[in-house]
Amino acid sequence: MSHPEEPLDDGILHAYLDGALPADEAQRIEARISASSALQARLERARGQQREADALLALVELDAPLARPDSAVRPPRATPTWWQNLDPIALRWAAGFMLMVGGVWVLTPSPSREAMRALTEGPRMAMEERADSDVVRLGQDSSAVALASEPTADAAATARKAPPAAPASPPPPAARQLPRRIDLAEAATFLGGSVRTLPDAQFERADLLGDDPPLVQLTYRLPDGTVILLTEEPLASAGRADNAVAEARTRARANDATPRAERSAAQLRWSEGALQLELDGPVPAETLRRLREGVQK
Amino acid sequence: MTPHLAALFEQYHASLVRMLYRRTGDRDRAEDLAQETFARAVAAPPDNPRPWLFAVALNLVREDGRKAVRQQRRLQLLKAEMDVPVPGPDDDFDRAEAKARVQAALAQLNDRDREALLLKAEGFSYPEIAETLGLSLGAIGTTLSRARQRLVEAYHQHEQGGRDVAS
Repeated sequence: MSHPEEPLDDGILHAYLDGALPADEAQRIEARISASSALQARLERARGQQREADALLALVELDAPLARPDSAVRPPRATPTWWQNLDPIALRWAAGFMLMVGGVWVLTPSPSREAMRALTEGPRMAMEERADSDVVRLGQDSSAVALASEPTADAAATARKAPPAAPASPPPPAARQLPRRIDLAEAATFLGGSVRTLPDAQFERADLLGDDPPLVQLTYRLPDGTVILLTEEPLASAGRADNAVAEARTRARANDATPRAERSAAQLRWSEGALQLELDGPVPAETLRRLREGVQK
Repeated sequence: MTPHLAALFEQYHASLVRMLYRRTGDRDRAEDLAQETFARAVAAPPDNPRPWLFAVALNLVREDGRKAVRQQRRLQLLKAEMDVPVPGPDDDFDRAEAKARVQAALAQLNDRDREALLLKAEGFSYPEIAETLGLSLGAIGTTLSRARQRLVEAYHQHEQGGRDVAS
């Protein structure tokens, strides 16, 4: 870093004080400092600045301890659990034996197994249904949920346009009942501005839901963690004569390999489409309040 | 959260929030940014976690700042008004005043100096600071020297300003 004939700059003195220099370099610096009273004075000044800066920063401390999310952090185990002390070779033999027993059990028909499957299938399906509806219910008050359960004219129109589900495949996401249909003006009202021009709503991705007509789902993320999914029917209410062309363009925009920002900008011009809105993820209380107020208007 | 990430969280979360608090002056924002940083670590677990986490956190602060510079200025003005310490016991009063002066002094530093100083205060070594901020190793001593000098000078200027107003 420095040579005997070169002047020592303050950066080297601070690096020396911070113990950041290699040992041989530090020794050379030390020798030069001990031979020069001017360097000793500069070193003391640097030391004073270092200590004062550290003391000043120590004043800006968090006043209260941080709350620790219990689910996120678990302290590391101090001692190994009993199973960590088992002989790994014995464990391998045991695992092999269990696999063999399991294989025999699976290949042998048994009425008790059928009964067990019947017992486990029911709760699993119920859980799946509940998980699906939770997404819809987030951000909705009871009146909105009630609205969601009643088929509206718009929802019926959407249902008519939804493609028939293939027999062997799961239903497309577009077929799912969305909670409440809103238009752009409403979205703007209860989100405090146009969704598309909210400065802090970061566009994430666009997905096509279904093929005919293509519903375009745009995903925005607010800094507070709210995820806004806007599902559009860009052609349904636009009244365009050349729907087929426009539809093809929409599909291309959603799927092509152009950069995400460009794609987003292209889709943002589609402002005439009907909108459906649902919320997913953690929704802060303040955002929920605004949404509820908007939905109730 | 995997055990590895849980260990990272345990090890670095408090340090990261403290650094972000010193950087932003806003505890809630510091905690939000730290959460976002760890969320990104979950999505793409880093090889060298400490510099990675702090670099991401500082990038988030800068991105945030660029997006809402005008709004932030207003908030800072508002915050400066709100930060007037409430009269209370002398110790608390003096401490709150000194803390506000340090934050004001930190705000006067440029990004590089301030961030190097904050990382050093969190125990970062010179190579780690260089990696986190994308600087050369040889520049760290000079950066820290300048940052410390400016922080101390700015703090004393604010202290002097406070005395002038009081007299």
